[in-house]
Amino acid sequence: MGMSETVPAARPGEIRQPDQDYFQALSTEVNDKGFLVTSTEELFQWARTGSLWWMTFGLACCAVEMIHVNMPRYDMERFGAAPRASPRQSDVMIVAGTLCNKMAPALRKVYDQMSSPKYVISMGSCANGGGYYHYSYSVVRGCDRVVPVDIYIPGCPPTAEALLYGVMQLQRKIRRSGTIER
Amino acid sequence: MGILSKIFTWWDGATIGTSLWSSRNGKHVGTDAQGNRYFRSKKPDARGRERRWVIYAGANDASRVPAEWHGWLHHSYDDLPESHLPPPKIWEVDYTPNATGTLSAYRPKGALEQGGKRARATGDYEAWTPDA
Repeated sequence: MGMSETVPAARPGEIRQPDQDYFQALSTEVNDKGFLVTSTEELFQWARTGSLWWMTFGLACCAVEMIHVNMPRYDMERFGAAPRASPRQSDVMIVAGTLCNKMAPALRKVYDQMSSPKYVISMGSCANGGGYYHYSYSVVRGCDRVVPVDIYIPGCPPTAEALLYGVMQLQRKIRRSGTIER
Repeated sequence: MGILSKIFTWWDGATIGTSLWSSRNGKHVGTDAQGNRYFRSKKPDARGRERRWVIYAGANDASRVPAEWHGWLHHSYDDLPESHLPPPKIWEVDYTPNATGTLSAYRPKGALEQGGKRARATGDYEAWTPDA
């Protein structure tokens, strides 16, 4: 095929680091200004955790608790997490409820339409592993069979407090393991 | 980071607004073993009940509130924990917050971090195969 002469493209599974010299130059230039003393990664993590707009994927009764957490008593928007109706504008998808076989292609399609970096919170027993409907003929046994899940929230349904704690855990996870490339 | 991180971050301790509110309207009533400070409001709220809140020393993680202060914080009892709780027994272990995501998190046998190998089932169940 004559592929050996050409420069090989990225092999499957290979991770290409971003151009280090460019970031170094950018960093020294910013440091010379003398007022911005954070690293770029911390700035990115700050921005990402500060506005986790979430895709409303309410499938069953868990969605009621997902509504509660946005109401004034728990008020998730004080953590910057606001509901969006469009996957193009959202950063995190909260899968709340039973994922049926018929809904699974739609869930995957919505996940693929979200812009990177994107995160998934699996909320409730049914989304975690099928839950009560684990042995049903028409239910996906956990939404992690369809999409990669970052945070699992147990409960049937989880309380609004539990969902709020899960969102804060996701923010912790982004801060802990955050990189510029996700 | 100091004043800049106080302005722009919210996950460590109190923000400027919260600490200002706490100093004006709150009364510092106690501190737990981790250094979290507990406050009660000077005046009752609209329902005639005092408000109770906590300012964490470090990460804002609700699981860092120990059991005795959790009861006080949620109005399970009126008095401060040390005033009426029995002295801790010798077999009680120290309170530990949620360790998820840290190195001390629980890894069950068979987890990838433990090597990913689990002892085989001892025959207390019969696995189903599609051929059978």
